[in-house]
Order: sequence, then C-alpha cells, then structure tokens
Amino acid sequence: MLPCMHKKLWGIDCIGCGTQRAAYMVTQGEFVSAFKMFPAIYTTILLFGFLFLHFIDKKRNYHKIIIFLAITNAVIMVFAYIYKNLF
Amino acid sequence: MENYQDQNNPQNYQNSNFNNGNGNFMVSKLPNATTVLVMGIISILGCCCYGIIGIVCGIIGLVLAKKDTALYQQNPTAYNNYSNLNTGRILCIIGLVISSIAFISNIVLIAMYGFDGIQEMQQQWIEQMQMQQQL
Repeated sequence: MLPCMHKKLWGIDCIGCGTQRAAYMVTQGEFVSAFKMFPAIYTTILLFGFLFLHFIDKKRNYHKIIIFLAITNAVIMVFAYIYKNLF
Repeated sequence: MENYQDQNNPQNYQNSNFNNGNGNFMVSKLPNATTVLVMGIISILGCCCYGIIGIVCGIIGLVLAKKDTALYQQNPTAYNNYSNLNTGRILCIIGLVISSIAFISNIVLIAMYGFDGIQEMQQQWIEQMQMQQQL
C-alpha cells in the first residue's frame, strides 16, 4: 500500500486516510468495518465506477451522476474527517 | 428575403457539418475537456501528499477549463463535449477544496507545534504503533 505522507510526518490521519484500507476491507467482505474506517468509501467506489463508464461509454451522459457523487463524496469526507479528529 | 439564412449564424445549419468559425466544417471537440477531467481526478486522489499535488492539478485544471469555456462561449453549437468539460471543472473544484483542507491542516499543525514538535510527534506515533503491534 502507498504510505500517507501526512501521516508519516504528523502521525495524524489526513483527509483521505483509510481509503486503501477500506477498499481492501471491501474486497475482503468486511463492509461495516470498511464504512467505519472510511465512511466515504462506497461513494468513492461508485464515483470511480461511473468515471470509468464515462470514459468507456460515450453514448450516454453520466455527468449529472458524477457531479452529484463527487459533491456527496467531498461532503462526507470533510464531515467524517472533522468527526474522526474531534470526537 | 424571407428565405434568407444568415451564413454566420450556426443555428441555421442544415446538417451536422457546419462552420465552427475556424474554417473546419464539422462538429469539433473542446481541446482540453479530457485533460480537465483527468486533472480533476488526480486532484481528488492527490490530497494525501500534503495536498500540494492536488492543489497544483486542481489549479491547472481550472485554468484550462476557463480557457475552454471562453472558446465554447464564442461558438456554443460548434462543440459537442461541453458537459465533459463541466464535469471535469466540478471535479477540479472539489479536488482543490479537499487538497486545500489537507494543506491548511498541515500549516495549522506546523503553526501549533513548530518543526521541533514534528520529531516528538513522530516518536510518539512510532511508540503507539509498537504498543499496538505488541497487543
């Protein structure tokens, strides 16, 4: 796994920390612990899935779904980061 | 004069091949739309390297998007992938926001603890990791 530079320097999670661990947990079938590790993991997977489709499938328009997922993703990431560090 | 059609108005084209203003009689794609999209994706992913990669890619993407938007505004019917550009632009903005938060948190931590505090925190973290491994 790629190390997080922010975590190496400070020992505190950065805003994207846990994505790789959560993705690994999803592949192992541990869905609840993946959500607890990184709450935005499912919207992230959906976002990159639709981005992949967007590049492959030129006939359909995915831009509304992608924009919605990206905004949701960012909001969840920010709130989860605040929650993780303050509480 | 009723049947007269303004040759310069792109709305009056009869088929899909029309003048896009550059002398090319065809529907063209905006030059940087895919680049903007890729920059947006990189800027979302790049928040972990102190946020610097994300900020740089996000700003490059936004500048390219602004150029292409100006190009599109000159002749809105000549390009068929404006939605692609718009998606990329919003991804760039979101990546920029996330990277900025990561970057600002770095600056705040440096302001709070200073560079001397970094080593202490690293040592504490390493000790914590060792404790967890022993458990």
